[in-house]
Amino acid sequence: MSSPLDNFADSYQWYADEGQVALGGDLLALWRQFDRAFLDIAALVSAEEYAFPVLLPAEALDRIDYFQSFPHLATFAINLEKSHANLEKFSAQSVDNGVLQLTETAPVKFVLTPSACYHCYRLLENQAQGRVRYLTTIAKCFRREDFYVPLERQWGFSMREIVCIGNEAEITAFTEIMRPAVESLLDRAGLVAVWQQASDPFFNPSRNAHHLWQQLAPVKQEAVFDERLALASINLHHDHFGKAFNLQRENAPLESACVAFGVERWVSAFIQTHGVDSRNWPDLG
Amino acid sequence: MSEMRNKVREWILSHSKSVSAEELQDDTPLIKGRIITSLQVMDLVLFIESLRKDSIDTAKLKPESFRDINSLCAVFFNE
Repeated sequence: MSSPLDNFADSYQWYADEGQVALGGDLLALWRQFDRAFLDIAALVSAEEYAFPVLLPAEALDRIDYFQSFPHLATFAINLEKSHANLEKFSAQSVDNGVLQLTETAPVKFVLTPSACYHCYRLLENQAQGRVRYLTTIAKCFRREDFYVPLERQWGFSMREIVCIGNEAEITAFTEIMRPAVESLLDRAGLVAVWQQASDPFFNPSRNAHHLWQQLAPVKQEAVFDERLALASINLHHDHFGKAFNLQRENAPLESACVAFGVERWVSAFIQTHGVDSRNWPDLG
Repeated sequence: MSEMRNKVREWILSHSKSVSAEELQDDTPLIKGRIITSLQVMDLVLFIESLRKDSIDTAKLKPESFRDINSLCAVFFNE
């Protein structure tokens, strides 16, 4: 499938491999510039910045029914069972046509991060929150897809999130700050995107209560570029994570919301709009 | 009040922890008002199916249908 990166084919600024990209030069500078702009948006609510590990416990994801809702997206952290005999058997084999021949594996307890914000709820798990909390993080996220397009649909991609945990009024106030801030950045970057109601790609959607909920409640809005590429989303979780991770105030579960940015997608939309020559790129200011 | 309307209302009151019989009106917003949660909405669909004695194609459901008791009765019971 074609990619906006094809125009960079003669340079050494990138390479793509099975749903992953490496960026350098002007492309990396652009990637960083966008993430700084997302951090500026996070600063509007004085969000606390965190760096989280790449792995999440399967137990934490199980509490939000992740494996029922998105089994097709999950990527697992797998190790070999560490007995000498098992390791010897494994090491005697070679990679066959690009495929590892695994011998016995250790119990799988961790999953590569599928969404950056999950770490935030786990961080605050079982804590009473006397006031509204705002957090931000960027994570390399992993989602197995049917096909990949460099920068646009990747197995491993960068997601910047700004998260709010609070009561209904605090969540509403948060989204009322975030939406115009996203629109302002789109405008400064010269990107045309339209807000659309959306839902996540559930497995067996007709049997999934969470999918039905997203269909009936306007909980997910995406800023869509070129009628096909979601650059940012604003997601209302109601008390879904508040209940699962026991985030509460005065013994009542709190609500949460997040704004998510697919960083590589902004790079893609930007070079499709303004071309690959950085001398023609507008300043995000 | 019709029998179906009354049964839907009773179901909501018995499942929701956030509304009293006095507060729940026919035009009280069910989802926006946090009366029905994400995990209850599928159960509500199943309950309405049992009342109608007919299945509901969930893929065709619209947000307007679940706005309040009035919209549920209009969409599913032609009231």
